[in-house]
Amino acid sequence: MAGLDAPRVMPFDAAPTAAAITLDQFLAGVERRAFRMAELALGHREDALDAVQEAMMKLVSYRERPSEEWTPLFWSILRRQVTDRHRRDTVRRGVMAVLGRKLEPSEDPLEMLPDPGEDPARRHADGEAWAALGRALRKLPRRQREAYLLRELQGLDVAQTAAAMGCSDGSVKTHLSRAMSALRLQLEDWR
Amino acid sequence: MTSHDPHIPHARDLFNRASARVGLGAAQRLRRARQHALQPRQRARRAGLVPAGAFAAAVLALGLAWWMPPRPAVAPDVITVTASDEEIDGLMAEEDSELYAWLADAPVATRAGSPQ
Repeated sequence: MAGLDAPRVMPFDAAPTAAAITLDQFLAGVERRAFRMAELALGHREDALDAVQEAMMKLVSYRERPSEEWTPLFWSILRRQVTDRHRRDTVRRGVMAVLGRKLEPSEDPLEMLPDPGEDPARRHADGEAWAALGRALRKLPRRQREAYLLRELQGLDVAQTAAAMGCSDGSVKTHLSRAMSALRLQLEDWR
Repeated sequence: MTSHDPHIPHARDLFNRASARVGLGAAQRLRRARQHALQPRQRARRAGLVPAGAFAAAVLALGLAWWMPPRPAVAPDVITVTASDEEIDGLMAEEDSELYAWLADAPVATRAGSPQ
């Protein structure tokens, strides 16, 4: 079931930057991490899948660029996709609130981490932690959230994060520092 | 545990585990999305055939137009109006009076077809 293709996921700090890879290999290497990042940011599985699909399609138009540029380009495109969808979702929530309705609830966090062979207690704990992390991240200001997702979770270096965010290295460090401080307070239960 | 902040213990580990254990449905969606994303270039090539065909047809038409002998030019009829305004008004009034006189005397057709 889940994790059948797990070896294809790039290990941390091993983002595919080698020059000799094809675009297919690059996308295969980042698609799952991209999906999880979008899912954390958006809190909605289908939106996250759509965002990753759009980002893939847009990256294809840059396929002639040197492959070492694909990493910051892809994350930059995905970041914009997530931002656009986040704004749309905010408007939608506002409209639904005015109408006195609620948006459909997000998926069960336990379903997000399915692994039948795993200890149920650990699986439950992971599901809870995943949901808490997502809630905390979505409360952060957008730039702080992006810096944390790209630098801390995705494992891009500062220069790549800055390129993906369209800002300076110093701004990345500032956003990240503030994000860490905010998350430290919000995720105290994890200690 | 993150190397940057021990107070946010296992966020990175959790993220790595979550990325490694994407469900089957999501994995298939991602694979399909990747395959779909990599296809448009072929479609664009096919789509490029349409403007190329239109361009070839335009060139052919221009070539034919240049090659075929020109047709003799026909001078359009020149209409010159020489009548004055008074003459035209008089003519119209004469036509109108004749028309209305004819209408007054004209037989009216009935359903049977015989004039009344």
